[in-house]
Amino acid sequence: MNKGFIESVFGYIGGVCLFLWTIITKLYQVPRSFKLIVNQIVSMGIGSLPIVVVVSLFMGMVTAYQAALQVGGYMPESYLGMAVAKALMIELGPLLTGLIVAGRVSSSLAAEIGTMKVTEQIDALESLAVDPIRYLAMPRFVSGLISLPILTVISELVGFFGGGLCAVLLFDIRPIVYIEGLRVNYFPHELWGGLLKALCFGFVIALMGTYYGFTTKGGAEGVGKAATKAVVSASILILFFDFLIAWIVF
Amino acid sequence: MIEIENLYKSFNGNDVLKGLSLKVKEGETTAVIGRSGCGKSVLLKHIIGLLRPDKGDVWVDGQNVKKLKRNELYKLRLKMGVVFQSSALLDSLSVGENVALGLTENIRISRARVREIVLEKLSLVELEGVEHKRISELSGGMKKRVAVARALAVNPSYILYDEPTTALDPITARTINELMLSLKKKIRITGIVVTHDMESAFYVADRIAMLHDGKIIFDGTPMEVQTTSDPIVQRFVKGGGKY
Repeated sequence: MNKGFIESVFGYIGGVCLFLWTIITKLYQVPRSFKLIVNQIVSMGIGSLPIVVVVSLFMGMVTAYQAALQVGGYMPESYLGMAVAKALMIELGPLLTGLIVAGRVSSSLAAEIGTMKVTEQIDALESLAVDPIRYLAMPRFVSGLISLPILTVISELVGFFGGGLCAVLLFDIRPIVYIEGLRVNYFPHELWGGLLKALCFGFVIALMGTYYGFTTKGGAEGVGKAATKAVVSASILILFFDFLIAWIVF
Repeated sequence: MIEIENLYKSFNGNDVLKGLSLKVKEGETTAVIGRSGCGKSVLLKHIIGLLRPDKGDVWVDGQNVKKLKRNELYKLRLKMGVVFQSSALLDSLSVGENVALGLTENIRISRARVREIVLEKLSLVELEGVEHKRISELSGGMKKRVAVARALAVNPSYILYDEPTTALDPITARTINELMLSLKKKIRITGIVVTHDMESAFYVADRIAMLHDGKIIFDGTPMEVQTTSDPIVQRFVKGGGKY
């Protein structure tokens, strides 16, 4: 394999790890950055809520519809709720929320910080004795870790509701039967495994967004490239961690 | 005092600074002139510790910048205000929040006192009633003034201007020159002005140093700059026009 390629891969991994370590060393300053973290949770979490709700509603509906259509004749009605609950909790809730937020937030983090980099705003922070990693990266990182699990729980609840709507309106299943079905064969590790995925996805989204923002070079073109790279790498890592956690937990 | 000794810096094999030495005396304003891309901004970034020299030293108040730990460097930076070429105001914050940033992030201070300082510094740069405005609502000249107010908020001993009149119309540029001069008289601050605008250099500087080919090739008073026989300085000064 090409030596330059191997060097660049290890250089990239080393760069990301070093950047992550720099953020970790600032975590003790979380209390001091409380306001910045809250602002980021509002922007990252609450800002993503409408799209997450809309997507989750339809995701729940289509999950219920397909489950009823494919195996409706072979399973009791109460199992429809179970199929929706398992699909959403284990896989679809965290994964789709992660991918939606990756598209929306990773790119915006990379573009925002990248623009600050190329317009000397990050140098200005340094000149004011304000650590840019503590001021910009750490609050976004922490808010990613907090926002994603919360958004995922909301996504799953909305998805359950969407699935219920579909079951009641299209397949004449009584609401109580659907709700009872959500609890059939429930194992707590399915919920915790899904939330672990969400935590991991929040980590990946914030890390990729801030990393590519801080390593932006050039002008507007560089900012555009950074935003694209942030989304692509966050999406790939989300799918990788989705598989890895599924393999370890389930 | 700021003292730069035998500074070397290269980027990707391109030598930008090749043994630059310069002294900036207390209370004086020194203009560093030179062609675009000759390394003037690189020099400023070395003084505030944003770049590390390949060789040589930068001394600020007896401290060697490259040997300072991060927290020591941040303490030193509080003694220096920087006005960036692009103003570099944080567009996610209001004017007042920009001016207050160095204070709120570094010093334990009441909100009322912060507000008092913000208004005082904005008034010093002749900008009143703009503290709630967004950065996008300001003109280029106003942004420069806010950047100066932000640089002055922590009462620094030094102020460094990076191309303060670049991209401004002649009238606004003159206003900024007058502002730099009035600040020097009012608060007796030591300044470094990096510029290729000779009008600006002659107007505000006590000393003018010319950076050419990675070194300071001339250092003298504005009068000495005008009377020197050095052909490189002469060509640059005449090309730059008279004030």
